[in-house]
Amino acid sequence: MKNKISEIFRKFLNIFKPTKNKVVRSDDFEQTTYILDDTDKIQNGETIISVKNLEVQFRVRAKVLTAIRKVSVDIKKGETFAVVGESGSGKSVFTKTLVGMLEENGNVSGGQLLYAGVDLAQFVENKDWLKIRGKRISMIFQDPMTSLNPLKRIGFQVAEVIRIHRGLDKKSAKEEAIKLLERVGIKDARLRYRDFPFQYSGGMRQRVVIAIALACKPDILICDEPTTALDVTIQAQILELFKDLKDEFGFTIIFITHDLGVVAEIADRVAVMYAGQILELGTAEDIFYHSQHPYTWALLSSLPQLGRNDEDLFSIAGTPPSLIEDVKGDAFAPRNVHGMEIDYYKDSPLFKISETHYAKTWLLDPRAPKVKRPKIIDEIPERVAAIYTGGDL
Amino acid sequence: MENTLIRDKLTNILKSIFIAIKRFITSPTLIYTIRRILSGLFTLTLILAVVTALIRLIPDIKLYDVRLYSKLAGTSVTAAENYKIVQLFKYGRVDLDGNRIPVIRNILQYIYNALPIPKSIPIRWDTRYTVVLKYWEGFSYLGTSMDTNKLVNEMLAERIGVSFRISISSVFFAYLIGYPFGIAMAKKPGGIIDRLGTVFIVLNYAIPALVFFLLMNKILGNPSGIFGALNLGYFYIAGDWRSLIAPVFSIVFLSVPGIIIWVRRFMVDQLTSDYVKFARSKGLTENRIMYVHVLRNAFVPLIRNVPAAFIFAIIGSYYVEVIWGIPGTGNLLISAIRATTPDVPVIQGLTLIYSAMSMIAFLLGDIVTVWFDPRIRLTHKGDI
Ligand SMILES: Nc1ncnc2c1ncn2[C@@H]1O[C@H](COP(=O)(O)OP(=O)(O)OP(=O)(O)O)[C@@H](O)[C@H]1O
Ligand SMILES: [Mg+2]
Repeated sequence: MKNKISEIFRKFLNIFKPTKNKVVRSDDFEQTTYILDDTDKIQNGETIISVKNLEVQFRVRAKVLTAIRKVSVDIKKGETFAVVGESGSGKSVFTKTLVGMLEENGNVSGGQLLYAGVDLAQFVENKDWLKIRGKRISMIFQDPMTSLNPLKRIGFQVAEVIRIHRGLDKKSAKEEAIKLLERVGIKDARLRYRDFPFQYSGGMRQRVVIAIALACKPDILICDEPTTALDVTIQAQILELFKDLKDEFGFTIIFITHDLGVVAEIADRVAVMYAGQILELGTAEDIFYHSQHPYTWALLSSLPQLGRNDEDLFSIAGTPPSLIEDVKGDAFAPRNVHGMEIDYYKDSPLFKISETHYAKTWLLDPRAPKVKRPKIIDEIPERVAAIYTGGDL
Repeated sequence: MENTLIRDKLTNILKSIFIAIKRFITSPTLIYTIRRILSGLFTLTLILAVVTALIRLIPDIKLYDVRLYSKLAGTSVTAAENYKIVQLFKYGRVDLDGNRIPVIRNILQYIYNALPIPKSIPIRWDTRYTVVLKYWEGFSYLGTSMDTNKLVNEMLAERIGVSFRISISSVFFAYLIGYPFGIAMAKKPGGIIDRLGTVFIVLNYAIPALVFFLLMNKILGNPSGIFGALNLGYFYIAGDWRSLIAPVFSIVFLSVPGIIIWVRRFMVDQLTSDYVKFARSKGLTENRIMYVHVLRNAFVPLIRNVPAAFIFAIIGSYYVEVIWGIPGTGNLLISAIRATTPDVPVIQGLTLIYSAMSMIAFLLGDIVTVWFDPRIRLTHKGDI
């Protein structure tokens, strides 16, 4: 009888169990062994995350939306890797797959996500993800105003992670939390430990969020447009904080933004995303000074910082394609001023330009006509130099 | 030397007590509460005024027995007139000389009578209405029933108990069932529980309440039916809690959907909110997110809704009280309205307590929110 009751009770509680995790096995499924504890052995500059042919799909009513279309990229330990692209290009989806936080209707429909050799795309249970989230890979979301529980005290929210992941008792977790809050620049952290989020300003809340994300010294910190909602001065302070913390903690940053200005501030390497693909990949220098893809040119040309007072600000005509149907050829073709016939029926491969630099455009094919880059792109080095020397453009 | 030390200590303690009291008295939350109570009383007065004025719209001719009047008039016109004046006097429309009393005096009189201050009010006269035989002594006087000649105060006191019991148990069970159900639906929108719940809600809304109550009365009460063994009976029996099962079940059944819809929406909002996403990305387990974060946040809105739900249950139980023959306030209201000459004092008295209870319910809801939600809790300027 008692067993029966407890079983019923357990069944009832199961209602509250985690929703199923939606990771579909890739074709070449092999049981990977956990070697997560070895991540410390990975040297700076070695690959820590290797994404191979990643494809992510969402079910939208009866249709299928392919948000990530065969993305491959290696992320190196200790670098700041920026992902840029227009709204809807798949930046957030890409990072959500890294922590298994796709929405209910989405799944990884192909490819691999190797983190220190473990294929995260094979994770089926929430239990597996709990070993990763917060401890190994932390994530900071766009809106600092709403990322904290409005009805829990700041201190509780920071100490909570420390207690759960590091097993500290209440008292030492509190001390640790206060230290952490002070480290991210909360003044009077001890006094304001028991404040509620609404008593903090947006910038301070973002600092708290950063403190929580760093509480367990993760290997990787993913920042999804962490500064978009903040005003420019606070934004600059937060970026500065990221740089400092990175030097101190030595984590890898994956930084998502649609602001190339921010990228220039912080990134070592940059991936330019469009319609679920990476169109150009390279070091910050490659992308800013030697970009090869017309889409990157367009993005750079629309940067207000680089514009001169006498020029009209450039904007990209047209809209991205719908990802619900199969995209035929190059997704950017209809908006490409340098578009060619072939763009419309055959997608271009990723051409290797140098050891670090890749671009996905038929313009790099030897048979393609030589096109002239926009003047503004050629002038970027001078214009940037002018900004830094304070000269007028 | 020692004395001054003790005195210093004492003054210090007194000082801090004084500061604490001053803080409490000047706390914005307390001031808000008091303001709300005052404005509630004002609204209550307004409601009473409107109801009294509306009652004055009932034509005189409905307030006395016209046949008796004409019969009396056949023998003596003065007798008939006297009968009419006395009747209208009982309703407060004329004084004993037959002069009309203005509405405003009715209103003021009623409010004065209802105010909880000690007073004595004449309630019984000799046949000629010249000598007062009996005074009523007490605080709030709500009049005497036209129908039964009983004090409205007493009638209400007699009848509110059972209505209270029904409402409290209905609200309790409705929440007990609706809350977990709504959460379960929100956990997996579009899942099996969610769909079943939706079907239940739609069907539930499709059944007219009255039909449902009548059906339940017949089905649950039938001694030779499926539920015959439970011996629930068709009618309420004072002191037998089993006879309340059927009516309470019926109310619960009909009020669960509202709770489910509300909880589900609230939960879906919470579960898709940024702070839950961030909590998940921190590596918290789903159970921890649910119990430590989301459900605790649901506490304030839950408490906030309960008093109102309770009041609506009390007010809305006319059908049930009539069908199961429960001698509660709902039943009283209906018989007061249906009487040949409307039982005005009873109607007024019920209006008064219904509105007072609603005011208190909403007030409690708001006060709970103000005291428990840190975002709304009003703080001293220097506190932040
Ligand atoms: N849960 C979902 N269901 C259906 N489609 C989705 C879902 N999440 C994302 N998508 C789609 O995937 C594509 C990529 O979305 P994503 O959020 O990654 O864009 P983004 O690059 O982060 O844009 P933004 O800069 O606006 O944040 C979009 O077309 C979007 O509509
Ligand atoms: Mg996004």
